[in-house]
Amino acid sequence: MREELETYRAWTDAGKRVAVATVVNVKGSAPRSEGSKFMVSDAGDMAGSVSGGCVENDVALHAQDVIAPGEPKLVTYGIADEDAFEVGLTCGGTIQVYIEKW
Amino acid sequence: MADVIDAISGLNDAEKLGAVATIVDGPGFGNKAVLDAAGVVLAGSLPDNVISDVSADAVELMRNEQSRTLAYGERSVFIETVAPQPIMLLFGAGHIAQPLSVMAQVVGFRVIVADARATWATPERFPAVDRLVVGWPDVVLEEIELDSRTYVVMLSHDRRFEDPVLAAVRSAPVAYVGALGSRRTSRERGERLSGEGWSSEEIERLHAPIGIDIGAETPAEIAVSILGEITRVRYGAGSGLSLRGQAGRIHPQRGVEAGTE
Repeated sequence: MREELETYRAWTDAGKRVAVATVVNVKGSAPRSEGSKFMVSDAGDMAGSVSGGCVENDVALHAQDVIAPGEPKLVTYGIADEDAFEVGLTCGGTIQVYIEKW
Repeated sequence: MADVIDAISGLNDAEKLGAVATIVDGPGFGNKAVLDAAGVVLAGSLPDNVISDVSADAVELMRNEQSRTLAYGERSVFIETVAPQPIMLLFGAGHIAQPLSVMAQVVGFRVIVADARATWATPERFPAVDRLVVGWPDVVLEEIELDSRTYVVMLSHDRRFEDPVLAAVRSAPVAYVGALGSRRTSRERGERLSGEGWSSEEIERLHAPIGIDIGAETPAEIAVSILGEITRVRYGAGSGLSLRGQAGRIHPQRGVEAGTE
């Protein structure tokens, strides 16, 4: 968690508020394992990943909700539907992402 | 949250093993505690009726450096291991050590480079390494605890450098020892160690010639080959072959037996 703490300090030193999303559950063949982290600031900074690019945009939207009132969220992502614009994991598998304000 | 973050920072700074347990579903959603390697709460808190079970499971997960969400009645608790960085000791500050030290840091190793030759072990050649030692291997080996997080790479081609390292790692529980050199050099080293009383098991622990066979030519490519081998050893997984033409999971679910499924 060394890198995440460095990023957290850099962003908070710059006066930003920070949400951290963590993969807490993996079923099937998911790209990132438990503990992988994706960080988002209220200024739009992003660092790390929870899925290799499949769901980060959606997580970033949830992260803004989490930063504002400060309440954590648990979000589940599964395989994408046929609708290409549906958020999901193209590689299969299901992940649960816990998003909290640091 | 500030006390929790301070406690995690403290574990990192002290290079100590610990865990963070967070209620990610159920009553007390969002509550968390930081635990030390023995499962003792350092910061934060969890409800009294789950903390002892969480603590016991955390100790087990930390032992295997795993992170999992486990169920405790109507609660789900994510237990995340916070582990010290693995250490790569590079003996020999030559042309392969340069790219290897950079790549190893990107992969997450704390990198220490040692060489007795002051003209090689320079900050100009190794601007970013965590520690640069101008001296014989003994200097480093006396200070560093050689444990299961230590990866030792000998790049010197020189017996005067290798012998003290070999003597130190022989009985140490290091994760990996590799030595650069030709097949002939490797064979001769093996014969020499055998003559000095090393068992065949002890000799076979040495990864020599070092690296995975990917046709590497340049120093940077050889560094890729070495880091590929070290990655396999680190996770005890993978065949070292191309994924194409093979069956089975690409991302193996390591240690699923510790999970709730």
